[in-house]
Amino acid sequence: MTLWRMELARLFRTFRWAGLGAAYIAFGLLGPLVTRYQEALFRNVGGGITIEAPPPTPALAISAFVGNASQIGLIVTIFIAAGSLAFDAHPEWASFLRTRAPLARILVPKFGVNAAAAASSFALAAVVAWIVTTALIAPIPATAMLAGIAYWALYLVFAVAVVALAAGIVRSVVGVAGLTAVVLLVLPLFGQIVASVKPWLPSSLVGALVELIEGTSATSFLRAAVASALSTVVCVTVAVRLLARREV
Amino acid sequence: MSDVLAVRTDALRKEYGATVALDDVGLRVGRGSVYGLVGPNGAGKSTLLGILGGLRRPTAGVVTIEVPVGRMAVMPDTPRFEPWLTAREVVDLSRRLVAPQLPAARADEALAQAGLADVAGRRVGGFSRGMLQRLGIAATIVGEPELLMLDEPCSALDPVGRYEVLELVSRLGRERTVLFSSHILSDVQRVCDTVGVLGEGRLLYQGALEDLLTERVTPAYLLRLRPPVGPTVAELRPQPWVLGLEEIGRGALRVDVSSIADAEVGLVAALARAGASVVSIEPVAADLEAVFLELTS
Repeated sequence: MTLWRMELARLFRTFRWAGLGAAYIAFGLLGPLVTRYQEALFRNVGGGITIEAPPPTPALAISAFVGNASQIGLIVTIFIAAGSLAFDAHPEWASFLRTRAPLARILVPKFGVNAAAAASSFALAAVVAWIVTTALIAPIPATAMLAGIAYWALYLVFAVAVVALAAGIVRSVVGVAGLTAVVLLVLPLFGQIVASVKPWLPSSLVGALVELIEGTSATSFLRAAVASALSTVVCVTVAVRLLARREV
Repeated sequence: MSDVLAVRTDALRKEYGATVALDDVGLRVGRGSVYGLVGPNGAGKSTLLGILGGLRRPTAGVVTIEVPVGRMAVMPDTPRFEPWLTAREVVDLSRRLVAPQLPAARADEALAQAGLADVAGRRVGGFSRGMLQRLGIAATIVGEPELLMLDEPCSALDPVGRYEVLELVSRLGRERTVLFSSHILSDVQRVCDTVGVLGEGRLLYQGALEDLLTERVTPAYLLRLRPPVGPTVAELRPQPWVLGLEEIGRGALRVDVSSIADAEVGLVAALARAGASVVSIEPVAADLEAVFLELTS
């Protein structure tokens, strides 16, 4: 048993993978489906109310998927990652790990497995959304879709790194998840207040998938991608240092 | 105590806000010794072991551990593991982290030593507290550490479990250095050659267990006489080496003496002068509990 295998076992034996997969894949399926049949659904509402739905487009279908993924999917990702990274919440287990391995060796597998699980769950769900959208609405350019998935995956890796950083600041699982959620919520607000920093913010990557389908150049998100990658490294490094300073 | 030290602390102090958990602790754990750290709840035992294990930082003082970091192992008083891991996986994870050069079969050996061979494949979520403590011991010894620090290793065990774990500690102590804390004094007396008594964060005594038992307790004798005992009491009470005299039963007297040497010379003579009819004379065995109470009260 290694720390990497242990993190994989945590995902599969506790069915966290099912929660993570379900959260994203369900929206990958439902987003395009609801977009395609939105008009018919509204028509059946009845009561004399007329609701006009825009004609279904690939961008709308993917937008519906991303909208849910960026809320419910992200919250599930944060809680699952917090359950692993907030290992100091249980001092006895933390003692076991801390007296046997340096903190970087403990943290990197936890971060790595959770980031990979989140990114791959999203990628799988996005492929499902892509297939359903192509089958029901219209094809999506592969380059836009693949670049968008890559950017989104990078954002999720960044989000898990923020969970790691939060685990270095607070101990409890709920506290870590809450702090991460606040940080990830504040980032886009900050971008709205200071417009010049918006292209650099990792939160810009959340809209990448839809914007790329709508025709925006993939290079428009390079600054946010570079900032996300650097922020990820900084968050994990600082988390290791904060955890090393903490007493158990 | 061995002259070569495995663990040494100098002027160690730990504060939690306004509370002083440890104060001027100068621990000396000889290499190859079984050192028992005793003290009442809240005396600072776990804090001290936490500092030695690198889990807590001292406020002041110096800690010197003459054993490489990878060759020491710490077991907390209430071990806890991921409930979805099996016992074998927990111990094997410990092996991979601290001694990857050892074969995987070493995990099963350690489980067998801790008495968990039969449940090696079971997930630990259903383990009792005693089983978790045994698992903690298996995970601690699997890497064959030179220095073991065990915090209350028997606190959750039944009498048979305690006996087995103490036997294990005793065996380990023949080849390694063991530092273990306990408030069960008979456990310490059974396996330790050196003892440190902590009280309110201060090290009240440190040294060989034998020395503690012989030097720190007021020596006493138990006399059984045929009644009447009055003349004997009258003869003994004025003796300068008699510190206390208590009638503890019909014909039974407890005599606290200033030193064993004085009593060996004067006691029999005094009894003869009193014309006592002596059934038996026996020294009262000193136990750690009495010493502990004397030191901490």
